[in-house]
Amino acid sequence: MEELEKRFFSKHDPNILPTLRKSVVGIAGAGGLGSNVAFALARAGIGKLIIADFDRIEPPDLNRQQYFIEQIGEIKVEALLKSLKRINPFSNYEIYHVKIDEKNISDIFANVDILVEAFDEAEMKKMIIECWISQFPRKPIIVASGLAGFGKNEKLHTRKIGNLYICGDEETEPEEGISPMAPRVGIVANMQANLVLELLIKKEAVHK
Amino acid sequence: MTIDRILEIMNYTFKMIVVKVDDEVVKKEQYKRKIIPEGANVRIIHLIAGG
Repeated sequence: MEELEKRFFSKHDPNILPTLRKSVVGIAGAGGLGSNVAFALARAGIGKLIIADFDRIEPPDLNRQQYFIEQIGEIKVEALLKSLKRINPFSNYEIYHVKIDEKNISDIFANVDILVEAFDEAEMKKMIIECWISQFPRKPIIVASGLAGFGKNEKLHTRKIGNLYICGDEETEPEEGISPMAPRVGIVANMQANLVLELLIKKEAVHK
Repeated sequence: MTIDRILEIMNYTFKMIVVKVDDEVVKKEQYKRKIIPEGANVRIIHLIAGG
């Protein structure tokens, strides 16, 4: 296993890998955004991921979420954990099968360096932003807003407001009864993951 | 100038918003009461569902 671990990380940038290995990233939600963010950050070698979601896998989820047919009916965070260990067994994963609210957010995510918001409902996005900025004003939170439909790559952007980062086009809402689609969700989720790496490396550089 | 007044002037009817005044988040209960200091940086973020 040790040899495999060495080989797994052999092509990772040695200048940034130590920073990523000691980082802790929270992912609030394990659906379209969350499962994609988790896959990307596990592959990138982030040392620890803390993931919370209350839901189970259903067939329509598979149009954009990183789950598989044989996992239908399973609890999302449990299925995701199994997949992450198959991708990168050399990182640590903490999973919570809960609905996140104002009361448990600090119990679950207090020790993260960065929080990634990966909810579906606008109300939940609002709740977590307000809670996070009040309780942890100096820790970055990366939210996704506006990722439905297809095409319009050029409209997807990242906006920074203090320690709040917004990825998406900030306008496209899903139509009634129609889910977002894999490509656009994947892009925004990976924009969030990519920004996680950028912030972690930048922060380390500042402290050197 | 209160948040409510700013939303009125900007004709902002979106329901799902987060309001930041300088580095602080202002919750809905405060929209009527909190007075915005002169020169404050007010950001109104409209949140779009989906994910």
